[in-house]
Amino acid sequence: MTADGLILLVVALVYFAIVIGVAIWGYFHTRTEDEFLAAGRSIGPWVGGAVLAATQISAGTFVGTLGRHYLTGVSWIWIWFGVWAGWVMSAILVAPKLRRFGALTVADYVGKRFASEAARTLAAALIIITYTIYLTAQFQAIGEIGAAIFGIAPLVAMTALLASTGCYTALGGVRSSSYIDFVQTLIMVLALLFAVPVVISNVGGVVALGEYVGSIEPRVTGWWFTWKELVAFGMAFGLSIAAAPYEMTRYYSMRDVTTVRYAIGISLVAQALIGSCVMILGIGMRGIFPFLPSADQASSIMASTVMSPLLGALFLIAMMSAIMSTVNSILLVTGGAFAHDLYKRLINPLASQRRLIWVNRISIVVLGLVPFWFASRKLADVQAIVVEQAKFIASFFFVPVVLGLTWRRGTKEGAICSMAAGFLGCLVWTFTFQRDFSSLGIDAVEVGVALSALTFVLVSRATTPTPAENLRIFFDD
Amino acid sequence: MGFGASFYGFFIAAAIWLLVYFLWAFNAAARDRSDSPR
Repeated sequence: MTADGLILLVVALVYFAIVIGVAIWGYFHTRTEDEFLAAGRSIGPWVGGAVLAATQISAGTFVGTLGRHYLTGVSWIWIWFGVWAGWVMSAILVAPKLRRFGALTVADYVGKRFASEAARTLAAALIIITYTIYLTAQFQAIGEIGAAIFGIAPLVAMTALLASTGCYTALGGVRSSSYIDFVQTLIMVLALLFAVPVVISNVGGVVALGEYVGSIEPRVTGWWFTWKELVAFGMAFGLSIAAAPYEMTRYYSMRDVTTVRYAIGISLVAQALIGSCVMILGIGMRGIFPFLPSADQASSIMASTVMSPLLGALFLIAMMSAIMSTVNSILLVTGGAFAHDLYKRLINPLASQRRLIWVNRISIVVLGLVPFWFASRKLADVQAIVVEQAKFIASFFFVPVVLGLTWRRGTKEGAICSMAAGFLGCLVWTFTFQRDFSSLGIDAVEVGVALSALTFVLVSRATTPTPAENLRIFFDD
Repeated sequence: MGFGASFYGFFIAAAIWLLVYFLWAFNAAARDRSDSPR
């Protein structure tokens, strides 16, 4: 084994020892479903903020976004304001009410707010379907990284990802996952902060970098994208963040509403640091290697050729952390949706706490296996799958969550019809008019959300209001 | 031609965004504390 390989092996072993150690600790501190899915409501602002950031940052950020900056330069970074607008909307309209409600899953909210088991079941089923597609992207990403950097078969890399992430997710649930997310966010931020000066010094400083890449292509240092395009992209991301189930369920695990607000702020700081570093590294790599065959290779080439072996190993662990933390959050949501919202409600309402925890664990492993089939067939590229699932989540979930928490008159019929209309609207638009209207800044997500909102209002107006006792916890401030 | 408004402007805008967010969060926490029964 080479010295570089040995350093990577040691860093990876230390990392996995910490992850498994925390997971085993979580296993012995988890006795009820509330502890498994909501960490006994014990998570504070620093860990909570790191959890939200780790969940948000995925393979797409380290590979796709860095590559996007490599190719198009600075202006893509402005879409973060769309993402953060979604977070602020969530902090003001969604998080306080959800945390006060204090349930275990997002479908719990749908069932209680609209007084409907059908709406709860539909929400749980749509979450499982959409997030299984999202998992496919993460598995595909680890397969590609494993093949490109380590020269191992994609299936082996995917198996390693499921074995490690599935293991620590199933063992300790949200409690240990939260502390592991904290470590992972720290690794991601530190790896990027250490990488920036290395890359910048390779190109002679920030000013020299700007002048050089600007001479290759002026739009790289200016505005590659128009304001209209940036607003359209930003809106698509923001709508999906404001009502993202894998973020919303984590609000339940935090101590109180104030903790949630601070955690979102800390997460924004981490995202700003990560986003800025990724932008500088992408442009820096353009300065060092102006003509890479694929922009997505920029991050792996940077880790293997530009950085020292130790920093390169840290960067690779950071990339793995980004993927693992996202997979972990998705597995917790889909496992919880099956065990808590489908199994407990429809199959075995009298299940003991011990049985529920084990059904959660088994669901996590089984639902983690499903994307293998899709990932092995490579249905689309990673970034495309990530974007598409975000559009679908926003299309069927934004209105029942955001409008449902701000408009008392929304009914169960309105919620069910709006979820179905948003999902189908997004699906049909994607396969029909998407290409013709994208130049006008109209995307499937805007069509899906608009259709969902219209259906929600019209159907709710025509049907019987939700009983007052169901609304009290959400509206009586 | 080096970096311009799109580069430096982002850092300024992000700093303002975070500042405003935390001012709101501190205010909301203070409001919650004063509203809660003692």
